[in-house]
Amino acid sequence: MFQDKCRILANEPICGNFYRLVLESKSIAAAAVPGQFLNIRVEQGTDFLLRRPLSIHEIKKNSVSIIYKTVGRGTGKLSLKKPKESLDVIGPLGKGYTLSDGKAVLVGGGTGVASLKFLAADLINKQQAAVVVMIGARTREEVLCGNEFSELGCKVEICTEDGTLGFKGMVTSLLKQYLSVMGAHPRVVYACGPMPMLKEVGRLTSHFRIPCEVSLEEHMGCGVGACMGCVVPARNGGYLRVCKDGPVFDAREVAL
Amino acid sequence: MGDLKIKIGDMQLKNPVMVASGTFGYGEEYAQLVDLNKLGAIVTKSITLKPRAGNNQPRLWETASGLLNSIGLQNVGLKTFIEEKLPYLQKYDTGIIVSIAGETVDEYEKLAQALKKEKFDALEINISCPNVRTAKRMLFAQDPELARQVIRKVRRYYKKTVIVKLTPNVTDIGLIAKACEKAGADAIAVVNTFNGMAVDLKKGVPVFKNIVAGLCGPAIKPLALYKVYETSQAVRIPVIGMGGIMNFHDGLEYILCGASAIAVGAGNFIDPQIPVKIIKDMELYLRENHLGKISRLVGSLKC
Repeated sequence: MFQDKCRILANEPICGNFYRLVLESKSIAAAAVPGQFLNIRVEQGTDFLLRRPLSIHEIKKNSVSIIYKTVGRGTGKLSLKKPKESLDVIGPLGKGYTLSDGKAVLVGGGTGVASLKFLAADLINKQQAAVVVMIGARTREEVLCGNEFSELGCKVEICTEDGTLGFKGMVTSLLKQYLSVMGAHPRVVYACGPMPMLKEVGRLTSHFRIPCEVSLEEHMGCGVGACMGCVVPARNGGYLRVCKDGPVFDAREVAL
Repeated sequence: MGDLKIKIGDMQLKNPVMVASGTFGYGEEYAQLVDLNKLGAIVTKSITLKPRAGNNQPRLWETASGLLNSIGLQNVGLKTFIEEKLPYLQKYDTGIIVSIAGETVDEYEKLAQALKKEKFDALEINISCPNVRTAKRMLFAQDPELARQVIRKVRRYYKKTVIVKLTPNVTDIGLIAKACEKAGADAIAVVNTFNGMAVDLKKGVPVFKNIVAGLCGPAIKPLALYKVYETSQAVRIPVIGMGGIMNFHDGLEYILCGASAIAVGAGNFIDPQIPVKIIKDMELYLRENHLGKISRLVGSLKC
């Protein structure tokens, strides 16, 4: 965990309201594992604006990148930042995915797809895993990172709610079809996306008895486990902190 | 060299900058980012007799220059605190202030009894959490008689420094502070969060399930500053000031208004380096202005 002033190497729109931000940081890049996030201070002024937690999309030797969607005040301001400016960044934070070998299915919805890229890269390069990625989006303009996954050597399945690209319907319907086929049995399913999607992925994997890890999102105060603001109900009662006990959880651990 | 040392009750601190309860966990959460040895004191998350799960989501809501929270005192409980959290903090060269919270006078008494033999510097009695209500929907810190009862009971067992944390949600904070002083408190911490709420316009419902939540951050600074001023005018014991402190100048305003020490709360979320920066700037300020001791500035506002 570091707190660094990171120079912006790039901050550009990629499609729809999605942006890619590349930050220079050798220390964060060296320490990060897939599923972890950065907590970024968007503004230096006196206006009190909490840091924005954003999942790591990719690491290179000297840089770390994220993909975000402009949804409100914080991400809106972030999109106006220019290369060579710097940002105060805390990271890498949180508990990441458990890497498995064999066959893995990655299910992503919306910006959730972005963090799965880092995971896919490690699964293929470090575990020699066979990776199937299911990318869900509302419409073809919002399909994220399809080519990036193909270039890594993943089998890519695209799914749009309006049917403008790939399978028409929800990404979870595609997952259900996939898991229903005899012999498709993957060793693990990883999922990152909106809560209704994760809920359904959790239900399906439990039905098919396949281990599943989900990455959750929640508004955060501190990002380091101190304030108890970002909790999620635990399956066994009580609450778990998304920033510290997660953001990646075994799907059986949390009440989705 | 500027002298930052202060004394509150029997507690000696190397500087008057603390981190406020509920914003710094049990210290360990921030240890990789902040040199805990530099802090004047760490006030722990409030501890209850039994572990508390806390409130349902949502717990946080950003407002203009502020943050509404409704955590509901989620904490590990007394036993785990003594066995795991306190020993961790004791490794550091910083003041340890243990915050306690209860729903009844009896619970505060039991907490004080259980903690009396443990090694730490002061007890902070949190009688002002807006997110946990007693049956009467009144906080101990909203009634001088209830406040007095809690402090008397705690005092019976706990002989070292006792700080009482008050709510700003009262008409006359001076009146409550005086009652605490009379009941044996060594210092008053001012303030806990201000009552606030937020509305979910899409659904036409309050954002928080309890309706009310606690507002913190720079939005409350002028309000909290006045509460600190009022309190320091009413009592002789030291006041610890907090509310929206983001830098040394904010802290200095509190000191001039009567605070002997200050605490950084929500500011830790924005930049965990704020407390350490304040300490550095404070020392520089004393040196550049040949002021000697920070304690000389306490309450030095020319009115």
